[in-house]
Amino acid sequence: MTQLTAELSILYEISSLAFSDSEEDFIEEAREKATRLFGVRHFVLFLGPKNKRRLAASWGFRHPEDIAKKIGQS
Amino acid sequence: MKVGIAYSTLDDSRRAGRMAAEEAVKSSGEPALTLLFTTDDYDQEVVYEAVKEVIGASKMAGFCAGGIVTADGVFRQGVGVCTLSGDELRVVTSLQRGLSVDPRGAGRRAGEELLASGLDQGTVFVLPDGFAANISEVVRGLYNTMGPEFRYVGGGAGDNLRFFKTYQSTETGLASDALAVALLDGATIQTGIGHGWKPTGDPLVITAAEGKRVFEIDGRPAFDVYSECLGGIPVDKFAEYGMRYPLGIPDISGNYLIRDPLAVNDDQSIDFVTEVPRNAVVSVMEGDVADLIETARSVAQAAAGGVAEPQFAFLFDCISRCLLMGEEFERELKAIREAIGMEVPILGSLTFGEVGSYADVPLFHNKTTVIAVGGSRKL
Repeated sequence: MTQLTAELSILYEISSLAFSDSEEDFIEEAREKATRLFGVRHFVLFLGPKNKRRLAASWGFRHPEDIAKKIGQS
Repeated sequence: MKVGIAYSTLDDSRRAGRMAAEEAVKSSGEPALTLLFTTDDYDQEVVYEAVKEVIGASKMAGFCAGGIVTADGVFRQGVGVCTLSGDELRVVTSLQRGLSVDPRGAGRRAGEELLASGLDQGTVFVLPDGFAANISEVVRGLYNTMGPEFRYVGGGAGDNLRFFKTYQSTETGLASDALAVALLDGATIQTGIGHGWKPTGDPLVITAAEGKRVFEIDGRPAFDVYSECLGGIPVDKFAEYGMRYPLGIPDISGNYLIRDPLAVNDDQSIDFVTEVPRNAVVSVMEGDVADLIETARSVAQAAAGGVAEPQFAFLFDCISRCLLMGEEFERELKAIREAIGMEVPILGSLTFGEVGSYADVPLFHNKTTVIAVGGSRKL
């Protein structure tokens, strides 16, 4: 029951993620939820069309070059 | 690795600091790392200088809190010192001031200084001012800079709930509103974390919150909803109920991140010890002393289980657990010691928030027990 409640709670919290004041705040909220709810070690968010994507946020990478390596591994 | 753990409860700041440090160094020899846990009623500068005179060139990290935990029990006044020595140990520290001004930046700068040493693994002892704004941000800044290859453990400095001033230190100085961190490599350290609180009633949604203040729960004034969940409570009894019924935020594994209610405001909003995220789904938590103690035992078992021959244990235990349990807190300490091994020297602190992780990513917790057990690294 506790596990089910936890999963439903998390589903609700994820679905409540909404654009608020700025892109920066939105990304920060998404990152905070991803790390707190799922314990993700690494987080990367790219924005833009396929050939013009820009790195909007990253989390848990000691060096920027590690991002490409991590994506290559997954 | 050699370990020295000692404490003093003498009233005199200089004598207490010196006695604890001398006893510890007698066991360890010249230390590579010294951890200093004090309580707020000492002259912190005098204790600091006295300890420094004894430990020589040792790296050091310390803070003051609501009490020290020793093998002989909990002391609301005391100086505890742990010294670790050994050629295999590598240590670097950082002291960041102005924590409340830029908490994320302080965590990031601390991480950068630790990484500049070239160490790429180990355990980071995280000792922030527990009253500073947004310690969660400090931990995020640190983790985001250093990454998941390190283990993070620690707790917030406090002052016996007087909410006045706390102190943090490294070998470079003593400060308030600061973050002291030490990275230790060369020892095997395993950590455990848990609390024993259980959800009760239906989940609630934090519909309006900013920082540590929750304005609305389920779209209504926060205190009204919290009070209803507990069958109706008078405002003047809030502190008592808040201590017994914190909020918990679940993660995907069913672990609850505890948030400790502190005070009710005139507008019926509730202030918490630590930030509560907007739109979080929370439960009112309850716990009985037996559950809290057994959880502490499990936490200690988990930490000790990862170290073949434990040589020391550090305990970061929330001061509110101690206040809630009263004399029963000694039973929690006994359970922890039984799980680790009664012969293993232990030093702890009654903290104002705890730093630790259920998986890899550290968070700032409330009403929680964090234990680190260490031993020599097998070659």
